Amino acid sequence: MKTCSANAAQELAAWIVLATFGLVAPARERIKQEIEAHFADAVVAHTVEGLSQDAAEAKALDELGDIHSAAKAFQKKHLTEEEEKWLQDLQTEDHSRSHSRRNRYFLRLFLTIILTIWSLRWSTPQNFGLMCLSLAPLWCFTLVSAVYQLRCWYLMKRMLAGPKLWRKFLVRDMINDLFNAVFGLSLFLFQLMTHPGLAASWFLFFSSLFLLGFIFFDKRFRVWRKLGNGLVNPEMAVRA
Amino acid sequence: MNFRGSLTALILQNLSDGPNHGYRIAQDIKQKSKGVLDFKEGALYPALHGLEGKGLIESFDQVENGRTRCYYRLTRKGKGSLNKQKQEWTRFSEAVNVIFQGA
Repeated sequence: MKTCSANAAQELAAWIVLATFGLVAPARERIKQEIEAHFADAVVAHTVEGLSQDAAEAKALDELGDIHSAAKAFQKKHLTEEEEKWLQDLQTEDHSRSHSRRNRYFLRLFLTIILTIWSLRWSTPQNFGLMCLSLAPLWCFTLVSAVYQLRCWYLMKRMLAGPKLWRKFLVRDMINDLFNAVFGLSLFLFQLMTHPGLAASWFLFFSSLFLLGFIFFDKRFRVWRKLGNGLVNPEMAVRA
Repeated sequence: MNFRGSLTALILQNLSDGPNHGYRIAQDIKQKSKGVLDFKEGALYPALHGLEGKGLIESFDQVENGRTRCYYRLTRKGKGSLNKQKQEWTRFSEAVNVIFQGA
């Protein structure tokens, strides 16, 4: 930048690095170009207004605002490196067999079995609410997960990969999740049939809480929101 | 003045006059509002990128004074969204005005 002193360039570079920390490379590069051009224009404008070069640079930097707020806002709009890795993992053969994924699956299976035994053995009218509270996360997770798998499958098919991926994605993940969802739902229905009319509202209340939690914090939903309305995202198009 | 929820509508309105780049959008909003709508310019770009992600605006590169600038323009969907937001704002401000005038 011709209009910028070495000191200001360094401060601006630090602002950009911190504001774009963790984002994928195409997003970082794009933001860097835009902010640098913006800063250069602002310095010229403030110099024309009569400020010294140093004062103009300081004012232009101040006008960009708080780094942390900017970083937070950029993270909401752009894919992070972690999300990109997750998307790339979906395309690899090892995804479904990875250790962390397998461990998570077995953990969920273990919890399902424990909760089932617990529900069947100790379920009473008095502790029905507590039972529902225990089952709600599991049931919600599996059901929401199944829906997201379907949505992600659609996105992946459309944006990232060829026909092989969707089959892999559908067969390996959907069957697991659908099995868990049906299993969880059956347990809930069993509870309702064995103790009709008891605190069903508890279940609905906690289910809603967990459902909302997943909608806002689930990685798949977050990435889905970032990928937008089905248009090919430029950040992913680079890798497709 | 805090106008966090309105920034996207202001950006859409600015782009309805024609394609523009980030710095000029920020200056236009500040100047037209005579400094009342002041905001940190670092917040502008996430908002622009978000609107682009929703398909309300689209970006393109244009060379200006020997430098490549990222310009934004309104899409058809963006025009529809702007009209809707204008109508909502008119209804809202009319309702508030009626209450203020009655006070």
